Order: sequence, then structure tokens, then C-alpha cells
Amino acid sequence: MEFDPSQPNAGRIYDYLLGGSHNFAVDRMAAERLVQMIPTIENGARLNRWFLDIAVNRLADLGFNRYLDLASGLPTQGYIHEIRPDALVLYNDYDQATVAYAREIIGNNPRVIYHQANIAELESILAQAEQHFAGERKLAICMIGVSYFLNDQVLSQTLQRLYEWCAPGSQIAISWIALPENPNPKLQELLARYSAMGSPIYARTVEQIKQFIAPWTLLEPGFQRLSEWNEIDGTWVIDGDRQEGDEQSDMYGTFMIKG
Amino acid sequence: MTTSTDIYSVVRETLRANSLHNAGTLPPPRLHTIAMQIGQFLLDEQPTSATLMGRMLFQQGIGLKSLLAVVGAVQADYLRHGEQLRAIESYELLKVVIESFVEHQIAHVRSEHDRFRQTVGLLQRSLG
Repeated sequence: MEFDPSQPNAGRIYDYLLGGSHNFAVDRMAAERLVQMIPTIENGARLNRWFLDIAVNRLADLGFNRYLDLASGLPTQGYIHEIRPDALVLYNDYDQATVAYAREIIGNNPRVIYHQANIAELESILAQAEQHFAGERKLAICMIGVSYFLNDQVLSQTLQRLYEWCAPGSQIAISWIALPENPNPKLQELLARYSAMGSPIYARTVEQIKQFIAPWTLLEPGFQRLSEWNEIDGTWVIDGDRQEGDEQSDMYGTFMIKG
Repeated sequence: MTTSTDIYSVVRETLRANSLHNAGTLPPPRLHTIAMQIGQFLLDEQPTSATLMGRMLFQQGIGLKSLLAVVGAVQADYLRHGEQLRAIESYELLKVVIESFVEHQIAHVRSEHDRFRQTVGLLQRSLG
């Protein structure tokens, strides 16, 4: 993908929603349009980023010191190498501008590598991981804020291939968005906007999401709302935009293990 | 009279109620530690540490709206307990905290914008 600062970019929009400075006017305008449609979309971005913090610390407490982060975006606003400066980290993203700026942010840090690759080109990422982690395949893997940007085939293949490749005991932290089978008009518009930016969101129900977990084993506490992980009351992340029949709309976080 | 437990509770509940105004670097489960630091700072009443407190709160990821909400809640709590003098003293102290916080925030945003522009410029030149 070419670098085009005149077009909004999902990664830079996300940075803006998190309160970051790494975005252009075109991204901020696009983000504000999304906020007008779904006022609580900023909350979702924060809950996701906070879940990353929770995930990295939980995995570190279990002894993990090697992190493979998929479709990383800009590693700002509290990212893995900031949370755990002693860890070996491999980031990746498909966007050339994101990768260039991310490398600038990371600086000269041999423990952290930012690799340019699309998550659909997993073999390239795994080859880099083999090198960076010196052949150690028992990894902590993070897919936070990613799963809903992958179509069924890519999501399924990615999780399957990661399972085959990594060593037993590896864990993966994933966040998900569950949406009703028939999204309300506001949600439909949101989905259409992301599609127009070239980053379609794939709406799945909780039951559909659960089908992607095998062969990984779901760890306790299972499917838990991001609001619960973050000890915030209620399921109101997108409640403000909720309409009748949307009761399953929410964001979830899970940990899975290769047994 | 307001006790250390009271002020800690007021700060903690205010921070929790405003948690979504904080940065992505500050998950709500970590707020209780910051509430204790603010509570201790208010009880110590050391004006010399107000600037440091402002910088620390910014670096920890507290949002300006959260901080302003804490100022309001602390004032309200002191006044509710009839402690007008402490309300005034704490306001003066927190004013310095906010000034320091905002100074660091502005400096950070300027620095980030400069770095971003430089990197984008380099990228555009490298792509011809």
C-alpha cells in the first residue's frame, strides 16, 4: 500500500481516538465523523488499549518475555515495549508510513523490531519471529484490536497457522467486537465508513466468534467484556448507541493457550 | 473533619468515574495507586512538590478532565465538612499542579507533532 497523507488511515484514526498526536487533519476529520455517528467509539479504543496493558502484564506475570504483536499500528499511548522494556518484541503492520514512524518512535532498541508485512502474509512475520526470538517459539502473542478487521478466511488461517507454528504453552490474547446479525442503521453506517477507508469491519455474533477459537484452548475467565477486564461497570461501551435487538453488541477479551 | 481515608475515597471515586478521560497508558485498575498519591499529596500540603505532582500525573496518563474533576470534588468535600480554609489552600496547591500538568502536556504534544512532521517529510522524500 502506498503512503498517501491525503487519505484517512485506520491506524492514524485510532491514534487520534486514543488522544495521540500522530495523525493528519484528514484523519482527525474522519475520526470526528465516526465519533458523531458513534459517540462512544473513543471508549472502545481506550478499552482495547487498556486490555493490551492488562494482557502484557498478565503474560509477563506468567513468565513470558517474548511478544509477537500482530497488526500493531502505531506503538504509542502505552505499547508493549513501554509496558515491558525488558521484553523482546516483534511488531508488524502493512502500512509503510506507520512502519516508518513506528521505527522512529522505537529508536535504536535491539530488543524491539518493527517488520513491514500484512497479517495475511504470516509466513514473512513468522520468519522474522524465528530470527528475532532466536528460534524460541514459546511466545506471548497479541491480537488486540485486530480480529474484526480480518475476514473469516484470514482470521481462521492466521489462528490455525499460529497454533501450528508456536510451541506448546504459548498464549494468545485477542480482543473481539461482537455485533448483532442485523446491525442497526448507525452501526451499518460505521461499517460502511470503515469499508470506504479500505479497512472493512467484519461483524460477527458471539457465537460466530467462538467458532474461531479451536484448536486453541480458551483460558479463564473465558469470554469477558473489555469493560469487565478494565473493572468498569456495565456494558455501556456502545450502549449509548444501542437499539432494540443489539443486546449482544460489545467488545470482549480472551486468552487462549496451546496445550 | 476530612480524614485521609475520606480524601482518598473522594479522589479514587472521581478518578474512576472519569477513567475514560485518561490516556491509553492508564488502565482503570491502576487508578487506586494514583488516588493514594494525590490523597497523600493533599494531606502533606507541600507546595514545593506541586510542580512534580503535575508532571507525574501527566506522565502517568491522567487526563485534564479527570484532574479538573478531582479539583472540583476535593473542594466540594472540604466545603461539605465546613473546612473553608483547607478548601482554599488545596485549591491554591492544585492550581500549581494543573499549571505544571498543562505545561508538560503542551510540550509533549509539540514535541510529538515535530517528530511526526519530520518523519513524514523523510518518508515523502524517500518515496520521491
